[in-house]
Amino acid sequence: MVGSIYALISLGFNVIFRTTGVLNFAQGEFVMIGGVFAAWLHGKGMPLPVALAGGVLGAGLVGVLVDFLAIRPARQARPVILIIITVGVSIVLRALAALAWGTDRFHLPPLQPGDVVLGGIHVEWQNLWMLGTATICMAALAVFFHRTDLGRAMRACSENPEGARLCGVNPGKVSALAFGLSALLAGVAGVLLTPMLSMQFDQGTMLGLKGFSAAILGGLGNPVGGVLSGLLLGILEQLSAWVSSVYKETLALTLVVLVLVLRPKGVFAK
Amino acid sequence: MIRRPPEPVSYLRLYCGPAALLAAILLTPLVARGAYAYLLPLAQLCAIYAIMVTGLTLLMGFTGQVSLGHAGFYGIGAYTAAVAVTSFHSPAWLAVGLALLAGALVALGAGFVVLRLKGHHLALATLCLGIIVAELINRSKLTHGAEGILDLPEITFFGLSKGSSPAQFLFIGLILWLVMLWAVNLTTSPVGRALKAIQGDEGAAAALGVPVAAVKLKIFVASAVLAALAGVLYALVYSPSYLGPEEFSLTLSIMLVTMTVVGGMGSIWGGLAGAVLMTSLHEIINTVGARCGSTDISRYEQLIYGLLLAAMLIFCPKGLVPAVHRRFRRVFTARTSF
Amino acid sequence: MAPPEFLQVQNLSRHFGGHKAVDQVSLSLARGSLAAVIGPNGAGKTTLFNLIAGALAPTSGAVLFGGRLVRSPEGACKLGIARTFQNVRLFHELSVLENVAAALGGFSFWQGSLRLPRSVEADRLRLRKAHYLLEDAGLEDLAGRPAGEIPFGQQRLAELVRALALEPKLLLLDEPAAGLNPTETARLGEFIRSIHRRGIAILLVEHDMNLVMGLVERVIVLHQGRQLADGTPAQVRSTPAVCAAYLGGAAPCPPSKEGSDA
Repeated sequence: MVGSIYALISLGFNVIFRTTGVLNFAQGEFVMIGGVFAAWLHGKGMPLPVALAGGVLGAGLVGVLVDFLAIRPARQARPVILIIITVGVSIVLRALAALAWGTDRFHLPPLQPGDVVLGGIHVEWQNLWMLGTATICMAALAVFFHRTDLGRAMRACSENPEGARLCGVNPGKVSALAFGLSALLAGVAGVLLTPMLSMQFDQGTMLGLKGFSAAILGGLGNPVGGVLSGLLLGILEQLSAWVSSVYKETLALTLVVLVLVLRPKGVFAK
Repeated sequence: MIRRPPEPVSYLRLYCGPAALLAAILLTPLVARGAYAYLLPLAQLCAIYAIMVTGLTLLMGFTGQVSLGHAGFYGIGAYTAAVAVTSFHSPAWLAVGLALLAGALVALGAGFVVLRLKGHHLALATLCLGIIVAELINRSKLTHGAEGILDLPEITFFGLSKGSSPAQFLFIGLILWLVMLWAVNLTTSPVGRALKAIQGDEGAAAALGVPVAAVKLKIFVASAVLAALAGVLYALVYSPSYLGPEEFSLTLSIMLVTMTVVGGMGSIWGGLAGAVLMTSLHEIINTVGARCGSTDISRYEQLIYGLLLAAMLIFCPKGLVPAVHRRFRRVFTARTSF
Repeated sequence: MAPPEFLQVQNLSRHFGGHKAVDQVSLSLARGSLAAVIGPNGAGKTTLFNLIAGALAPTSGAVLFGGRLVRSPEGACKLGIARTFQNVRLFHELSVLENVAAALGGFSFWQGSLRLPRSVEADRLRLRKAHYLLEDAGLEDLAGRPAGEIPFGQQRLAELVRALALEPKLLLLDEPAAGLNPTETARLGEFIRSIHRRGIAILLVEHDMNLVMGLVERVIVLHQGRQLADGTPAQVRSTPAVCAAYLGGAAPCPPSKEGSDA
């Protein structure tokens, strides 16, 4: 169920968007880095859990760096500019990944091999892990943003940066935190996806795009909507693959456009 | 004191820019000769992209509508012309007409549906549409998929672009010049006012009698037709004998937007400069890389490109060209102030 | 036989979800009248304006102008209704002059592309007309400045001139005095009177009671989306229900004879 991956990616998008207002086109690259780095570590002989952790944390670190180097200096720019800056970042990350780890496909063993039969359908364990992780992440984020002080501070910052500053919240740190958190989520997504589909340096783009679509379809800024749309998008993709394996991307994207036009507020808007 | 009421810009002041451009176009083949002849294909590509960027500047910079999928129209123009010529053996002028018509019709349909969206919704929709076109090109039998169309015969337009690089450049350059002339006329006419009004405030514009939906659609179709025109030039003049789908990707759509933004978005001349600059960047990186003795420059090229892109926009968010323009003006007026 | 009514609002309602912003409002305005809509905050005044100007579709009821249904902002414009906005909505990218000229049309792509002497001449006349209109309002010195950069009081005036450029039969002014100091407000009042003398009907929404009571012939009071009163300033001032509605806010009918400040 690739949909859970899209859900995770859209969560990451929403975190960054709600906290900083930036549309991060490099989100897909965070996913890619998580997967490739973990696979690389594993290939170098690290035990699986360490490699996975490394992948996730590595992605998170890259996220914070990106915020530091690229987003912070350009806080004041127009939204279009910020979007293109993140596009530039995604190009840089892709190139760095190609240089550092090569252009081959990377593989990871699944967390739990084999499958289980649920109601007559064979479901791979990895799928369940993906779904489960996505749900846990969503719940954890909800708790974080609504129950902890730090989370509330971040939300305050997004609504009103000046007021938040007066109360002692530092917008710069909040921004870094948002990017880091979002990249961690992406890293998790990458690490979960690689065993199923393998990961290559240029796969981030399409993944990011799908996650982005899910976020917008669910209503930008609405994390629950984004998650649900992500799952929906995954299902739609499977259906399109049924209809025509050659044109499955085309069909999926056409559906995205249709939804955008017919229900711009998002499928799950109130 | 009786002040003179304002006038529309006089023809003389207005056409300074186009005149300078014409001179530049005519001079380029003279300059790029002998050892520098390899620059001519680059100049052709600059002109081709500049045609598209002019359309995008009008759409994005003036009317405030974003399109992240314009490479799609580029591809539609290129492939319609190529397929018409190879599979249906139509004459050049018909191929061009069909290509422009195809671009216009698709833009009409897409625009009708998509232009009611705003901001990031419009961005995502155009992004998806561009990718859909790229996917269709990549996979359809008609366009020969990833293999591309081979053995495109060399097309001559009234014998003008036959054979030589200089003649081809002049042909493309003159078409670019006509496009710029058109854009200059349009932006200094009441239509330019309408475009900026729509960008400023659609609701207020509608309340003033500006036909908002019609103008948005027309400018969208115009920018699409320009992209299709560029596509025809690409397929039939610039790159005869082979046409492949790699050129018409999402990456190009983003690059076109970047050229527009670098040029400052509010000026068609800025857009032209942005197009020339970014197209040459690729060449500059390669040349510098070769000079530095690096044989592997292609591996670093994307990296450098991305870094330059991000850096340019982080430090000059209003666009590179306006920033330079402002510096220039400061230099020139420094001596005359106080 | 009376000609078709000028402006006719028939049982107009507009709901937002469960909230009735405008509730069964009916009124008609005669040609060349000068009236104001007042009411406490949230009474539905701007919503009513948006409905009359065609910017909002009614939930029920209709707005008729010269017997024709008002359906959209473009339609309203064609019928002869012009408006200003509560938060000044000038086109920031354009100069003040261009803002006014934008109301004067000429948006043919063909003519724009070819730039023939005939269309250049037509545009010259447009710019000249826009300039005269700005002169009338005393704004000609600011004509070349970008609209976003002039002082706020002048912005309001410029938006008013822009609406006038449409040569409307009915002018809708949404809180034209908001944010103006007393001198500017007085000048605005004069300007509105001069527009009225030209025969243009004016309907305004205002909180500034000094301006309203001294200016208009007719006051319509809205409260919670419904009409509370409709008559001359003196009549409205002495209606108890109106004073009750304003309790705690700017009441048009304090114990003394003059209006109180907003």
